[in-house]
Amino acid sequence: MSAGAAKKAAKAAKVAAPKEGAILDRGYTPYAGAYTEQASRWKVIASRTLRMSARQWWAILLLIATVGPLLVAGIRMWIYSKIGAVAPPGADIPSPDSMVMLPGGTMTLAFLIALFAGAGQVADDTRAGAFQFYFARPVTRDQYLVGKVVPVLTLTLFIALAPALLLSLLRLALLPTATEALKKLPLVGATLVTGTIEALVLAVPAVAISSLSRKRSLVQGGYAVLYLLPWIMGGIFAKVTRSAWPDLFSVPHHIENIARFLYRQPWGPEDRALPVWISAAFVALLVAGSLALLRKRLSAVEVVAS
Amino acid sequence: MTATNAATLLEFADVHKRYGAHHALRGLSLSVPAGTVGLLGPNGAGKSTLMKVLLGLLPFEGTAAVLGHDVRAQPAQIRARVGYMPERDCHLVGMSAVELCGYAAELSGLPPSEAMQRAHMVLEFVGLGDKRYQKVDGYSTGQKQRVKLAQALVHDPKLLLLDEPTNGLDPQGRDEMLALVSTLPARTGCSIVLSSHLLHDVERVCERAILLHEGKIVYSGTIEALRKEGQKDVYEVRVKEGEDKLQAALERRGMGVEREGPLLVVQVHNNVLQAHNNEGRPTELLFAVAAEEGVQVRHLAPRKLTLENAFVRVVNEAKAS
Repeated sequence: MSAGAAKKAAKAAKVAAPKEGAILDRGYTPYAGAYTEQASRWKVIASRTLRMSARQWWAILLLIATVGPLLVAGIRMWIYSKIGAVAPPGADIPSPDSMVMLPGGTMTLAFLIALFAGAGQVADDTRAGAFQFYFARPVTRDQYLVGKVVPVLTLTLFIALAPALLLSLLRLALLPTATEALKKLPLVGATLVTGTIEALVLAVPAVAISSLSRKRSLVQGGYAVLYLLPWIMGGIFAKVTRSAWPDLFSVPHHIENIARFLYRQPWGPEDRALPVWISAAFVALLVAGSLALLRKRLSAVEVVAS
Repeated sequence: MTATNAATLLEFADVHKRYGAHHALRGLSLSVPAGTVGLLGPNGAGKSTLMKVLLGLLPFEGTAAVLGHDVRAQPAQIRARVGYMPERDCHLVGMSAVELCGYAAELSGLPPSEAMQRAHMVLEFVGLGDKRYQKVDGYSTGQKQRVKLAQALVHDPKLLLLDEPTNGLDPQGRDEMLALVSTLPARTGCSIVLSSHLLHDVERVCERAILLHEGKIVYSGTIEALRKEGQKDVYEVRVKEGEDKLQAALERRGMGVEREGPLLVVQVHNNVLQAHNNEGRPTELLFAVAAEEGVQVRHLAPRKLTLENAFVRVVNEAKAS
């Protein structure tokens, strides 16, 4: 290009350059790129929902609050392990292993995050008419279901599992020899299973109840009542009747019952517990029933307004 | 059916849909070429059911293809190539317009980076470039309509299904929305199916129309042909005096007459012409009747039908049959 032509081109570019701040309609360009796999749409829903939920004030607060039980249980575990090493045989010192099982307060935090994150999942979409947004696209109802349950499960799992997992690793680290640490390895497995069960039993029903109403507050109230009422009433009647059966519908009782079985931490002599298989069956039924309810509700939603 | 003709937008053969005892679609058969199509019909005519069938959301009897894809066998492929702008509000709580459109594109199969680029592009395209970072919850009705259009366009669909796109808009907003929609086929290369009960909207945007009545297609063709079809045997007559006398005389001879102020709107069916041995010459018959009654005709011309008149006429004929 000659110097004259280059000068001309530079001048033309200067004339064509938009003013700063000007809004330009860049027109419409057809899309010629690749498409993602149809089967992966649930991941799109899950990651977007998780990002939206994780930036809410309550999520940040509850995730930060998880540090509290972790620190308290960690310090207690350290103290018990040190005292236990020098205490005479038969001394009444709590087992450091018990600190790993449901670290104090995490179940409440997990319940709260399932309550906040789960309540709005389907209710908000029902209220905003978002089903037509999803299902008029290549998204199936099952993909939507998975995409909505996974983020609530992830957040709940984080609170239910992360502190306990760190504590179980700390427990292994506090043991004097590698052989002893190897013997205690099942502690990590018990933690993983307990945390997963706790997250499932808290998160899935929350999303299922969310499909029953378009009002988030109503869902939160309903979920809290369903969770807290059997727990409180069950506790009172179990004491009065000296039987474990009033706890049949108490979710925390079943979680603790399974956890004690997995961690080999027996109930106290004054406590009454249902057989573990009943707790396992209750948990399985609750999760499966919640998924079935969610599926049924989603299969009935209208996409095109009549 | 695995239609492969890309130029054919919709291809239906004997499509039925029943909800229990209610027969919502009754044997629809049609073939519509690519372009702009208005879907018209009174409430309960089957428009929504037809839209659901088009999107592959309902089981049905018969065979149907959209953009060459079998509706029953390939609903996901159809929905990937169709953009749907719903009638009702559809946004996600707490999302900005650009997030919503980006998400819509990802759900339609675009990779995240491409999805976000196209979200910015379509929002500028629909005139919301400067508002794209605001939450949709706080948008005005007109802005929400534009976001709905943007989310339907973001994945570059080959067919846009617009359900009452001017719903809730003031006259100026309606005008702007229709102006935008009518430019879409030329600018984006997509076809449009516009479902509306506002005939003016359809008239402004569409070349063709499908008229539904009680689950049946009562007309499918160009809007121009619909108007011509309607006006071929309807005449308007103005006389100096004696409107009542002429009306009575025409009605005695089996013609339908309606009064619009001083005008007599006369429908001359072919069987009336045959009965008077005047086949093909309706104006002669009208002049002859006026002469017999001693009425002086000042104006006699074929009626130019609006789409609304044509629509009412076609529906009335369907009801009568």
